[in-house]
Amino acid sequence: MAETDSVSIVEVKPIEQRKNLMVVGLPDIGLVGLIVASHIASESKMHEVGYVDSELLPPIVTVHGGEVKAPIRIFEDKDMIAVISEIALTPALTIELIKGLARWAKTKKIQMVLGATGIPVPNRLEIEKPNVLGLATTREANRYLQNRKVQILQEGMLVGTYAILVKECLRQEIPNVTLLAESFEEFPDPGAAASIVEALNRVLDKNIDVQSLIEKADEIRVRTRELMRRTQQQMKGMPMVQEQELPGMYR
Amino acid sequence: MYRRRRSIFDMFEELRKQMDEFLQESFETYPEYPMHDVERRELQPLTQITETDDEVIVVVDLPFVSKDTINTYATEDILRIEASTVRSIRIEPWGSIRKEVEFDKFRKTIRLPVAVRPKEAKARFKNGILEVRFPKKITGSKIEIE
Repeated sequence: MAETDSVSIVEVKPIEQRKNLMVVGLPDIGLVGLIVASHIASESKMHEVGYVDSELLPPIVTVHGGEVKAPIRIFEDKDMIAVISEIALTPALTIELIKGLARWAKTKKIQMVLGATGIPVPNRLEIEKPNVLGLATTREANRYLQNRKVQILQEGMLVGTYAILVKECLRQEIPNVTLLAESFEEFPDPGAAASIVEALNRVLDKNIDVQSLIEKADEIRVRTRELMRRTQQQMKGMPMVQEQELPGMYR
Repeated sequence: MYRRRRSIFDMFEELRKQMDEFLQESFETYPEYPMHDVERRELQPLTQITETDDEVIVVVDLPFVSKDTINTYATEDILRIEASTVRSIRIEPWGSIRKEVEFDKFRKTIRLPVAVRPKEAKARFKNGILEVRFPKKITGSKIEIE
């Protein structure tokens, strides 16, 4: 178990050390990261192995198949971990949760942490296949992404949940890769998530089915409306518009 | 320099406007009621409203809908949308009481942030997203600069 003052990562079944990748799926722009992590966990047939506990969590438990479940859960297969939240997170919980996850990833010697999120674009309706950009915290990882035909984000800003994840991974000296896809800001965007899964297949030499995600797109959009609305409320305090601003003068 | 003293009535008027804005934002932008009506088989769609200098742009997320089932109606202040889904959307299990429920339409009335010219609105529907663009109703007088 790893702890900050406010967050505990509870392993219901012991999780082995040195997993290759931890995918973090938290509600953010277009719910892209959450859709990516959920799809990977489903396609990889991951098993539930733990959950997050915190006094900052709202008074919610979920019930699936007659079993009581925590709203933020941890899944694994032989070489990956996925962290998935079913609820919108307050800014305070987001910060503490990500600190706790980064510390836990360090103790577990996880090789890389992956974030995925949307870049809100005003002309998303015109875009059939969203473009994907990559951002890595080490030069070697950036070169690796380029070699796998992922365009690197050269200038700009990342704001919000996944910016905090990048920061905490830097602090804990864990390699972090963030994949960003052009997306709707306030609608769930399975199309953007599908673009990211395609890029991830190139980066990780995997073969995660993308077509099944595209086929489920309408159902995902219906089922996640309430979560998207609550996520919008929480994102209201974050200056997301800064991501679309011109970069600063000084480098 | 002369400064007009604010009367108690000015302060009450300002407070009333702030309360109106707060209530409008709370109840119309992020209402605390469910986004569905099980008895009517209706879902409330997600919407996004943006303004430019000249336009109000309303975007509505309408999965499982085809263009020919969408009805829109607008005045200077509101946009009403109704749309039927191409098939019933079954959600199971549903909450703690029902095993499954079905929905077959979306419906929402949206209050626009400023007055618009509804007869000049343009709409398009693509990949389950409806976009309606309204030119703003701008009234007033030109100001000459000396």
